[in-house]
Amino acid sequence: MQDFKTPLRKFIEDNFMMGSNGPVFTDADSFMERRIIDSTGFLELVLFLEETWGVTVDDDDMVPENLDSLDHLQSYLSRKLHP
Amino acid sequence: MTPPARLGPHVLDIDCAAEAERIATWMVNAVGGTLHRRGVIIAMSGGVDSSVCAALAVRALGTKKVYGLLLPERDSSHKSADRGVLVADHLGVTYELQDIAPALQAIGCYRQRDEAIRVVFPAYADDWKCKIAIAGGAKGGINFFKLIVQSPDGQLQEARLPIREYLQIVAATNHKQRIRKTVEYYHADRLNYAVIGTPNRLEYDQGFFVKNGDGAADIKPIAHLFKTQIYALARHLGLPDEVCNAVPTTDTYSLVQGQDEFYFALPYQQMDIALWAHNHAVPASETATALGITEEYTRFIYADIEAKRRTTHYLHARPLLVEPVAEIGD
Amino acid sequence: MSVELLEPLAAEMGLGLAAEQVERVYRDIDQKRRSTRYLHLSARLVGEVEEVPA
Repeated sequence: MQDFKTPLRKFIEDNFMMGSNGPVFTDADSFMERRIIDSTGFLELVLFLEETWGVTVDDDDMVPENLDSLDHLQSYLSRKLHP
Repeated sequence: MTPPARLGPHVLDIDCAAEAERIATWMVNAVGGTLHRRGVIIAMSGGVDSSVCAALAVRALGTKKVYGLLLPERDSSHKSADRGVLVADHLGVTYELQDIAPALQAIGCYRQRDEAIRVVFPAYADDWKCKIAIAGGAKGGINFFKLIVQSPDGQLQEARLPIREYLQIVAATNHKQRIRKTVEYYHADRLNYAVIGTPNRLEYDQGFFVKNGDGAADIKPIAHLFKTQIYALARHLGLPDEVCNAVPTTDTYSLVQGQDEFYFALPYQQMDIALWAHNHAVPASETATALGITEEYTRFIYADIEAKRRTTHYLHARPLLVEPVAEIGD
Repeated sequence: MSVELLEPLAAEMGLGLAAEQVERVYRDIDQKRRSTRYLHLSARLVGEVEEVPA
């Protein structure tokens, strides 16, 4: 199974936490609840997904179940790229 | 705070006469006492907020110490400038009209905005119209922004805005508020006046202003008042019906854009009550009943209020220093 | 600080100023702080909006 979590964790740490010195978060942690990513941040995340893996994130895909944790993102990208 | 016995529009009732007097007295002390300025500058958009601020300033300081500015640009509604003149004439203040479109043109506002729009809609041209609307969050999804354009034949198209284009459109459009504030401070400097900022409580609380644009001011006389209360004051102060009855718009995009389309979750009458209710710890179930919306949507609105406070906290923040400069103090 | 102390202090600092001049500079510093204090102030409000920290 392709690993999306590692590059995603690095992206989140580099972009939203100024490196890995920010708060520790687990793969299951909600970005919204932990306040790691705000609303503009989710749009940056979507751009990262589209540019890195060539997926198209549809309007209907913009839901927490797809984007709001590393676990959710892993599942979402797996479905999009390996249906 | 203890929730009221029953939630409804009455929670926003104010004694307009007393409040107008309180603000007027405060303004005299703030302008003359704290700031040591000789009068006030007020940019008048024709909307109820700036009109009420102008009327309060005249009441506090007299017409001779209030200088009005009408600052339309290419995308401003003609009605706004007309209402601004109407209010200025009604109040008897001296005012000046300056079209800021050439300044915005020179600084690249329209070009930068349209460049971003054309990434999404390549056919977008000067005779098209546009606006931005927020979507997603209200339906339980993640917030994103839609760009809506209208071609000269009236056809509407819409698409989700990618982050780069969204930020570029907002940044380019923010020139409008910042250029206006630049003009206001020019007049403030030459007259030794203070600049009035006109955010209402919802806008101030929720960060609906541009940093160093309409967010910049020396005094903000209505930042503690809900829009509903400002309309009440407008009627009390005898402002023209056109102002008292106007529906709030951002007057920033060429397509008419309600504040609730772009930023707030509800029209202002309901948003005022929702904000008041949230501030007074009213349970979502009760607020939902009062507003005629679902309890789920009310919980979303409460969460959205808090989220906006967090993400716009920086708009209110003073510049951060490595260490305090003690001699300057607070 | 007294004029008697200012002069040797000014000399020690290599300012080449008489004590009276230094005193004038001190007063000017304080005057500028007072008259430009408004530049550091956030916008004055009629009443606190408690939900937005000052």
